[in-house]
Amino acid sequence: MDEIKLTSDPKNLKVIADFVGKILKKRKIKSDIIEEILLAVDEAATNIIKHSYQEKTDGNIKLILETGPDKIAVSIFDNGITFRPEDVPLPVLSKDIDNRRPGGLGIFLMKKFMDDVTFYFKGTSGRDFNEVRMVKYLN
Amino acid sequence: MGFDVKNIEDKPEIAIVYLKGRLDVHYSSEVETQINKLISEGKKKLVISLNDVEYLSSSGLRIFIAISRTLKEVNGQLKLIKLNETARKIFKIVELIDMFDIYESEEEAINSFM
Repeated sequence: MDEIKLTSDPKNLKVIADFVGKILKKRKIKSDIIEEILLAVDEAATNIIKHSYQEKTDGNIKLILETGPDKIAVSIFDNGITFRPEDVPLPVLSKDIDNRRPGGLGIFLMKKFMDDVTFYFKGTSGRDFNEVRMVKYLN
Repeated sequence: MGFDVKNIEDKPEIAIVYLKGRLDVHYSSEVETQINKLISEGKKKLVISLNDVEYLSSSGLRIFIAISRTLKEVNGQLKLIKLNETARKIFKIVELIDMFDIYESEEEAINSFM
């Protein structure tokens, strides 16, 4: 299990990508799988920066990466405003660009690239933090 | 991160924009500001090269949608060139691939402007 703690500064998105990418490379995960995981992690962390911390750059973010023989799991924790993804409508993938809603693409991509995406909210079951846990199975 | 612009001497409405680096939320908003500035200066026919974009997130996709809409309002056009395999995959997944004019080379994109 590997862990990194940082602040909600958008510049840290690259730090997160480098941290996760380096570990997955070392574990000899295939490069296309790494790309998909990095994209999902970036989208999840972006949501925390934009929605949980409302673009404040001093919020706390913790990421835990677990790598096993059959799966990769990434959990990202924050202590900001609870962001309920169901409040963001998923994008309508219409043929007409003018009718595209701007929101929801991030969560859509997270769900496309990871096998399980679960949100746990602050204030439920005695939690004092929000968590998004994403799992990718390796088979 | 990089943002370079090339103008074409006898075609003042055209600008070629070369993006470089990670097109995440941080860089995307900067890119959007710069491109809106170009449009307000009269560059209504834009070619954007993604050749050196090493990473594309939904924030990047959003700016292409926004730029396309802004250009439409001023009767302009947007062409994207040199999408790498990962960028193409993301455009396909969100079903945006057919909504943009995508070319391999600058010349092709420039010649396609009406």
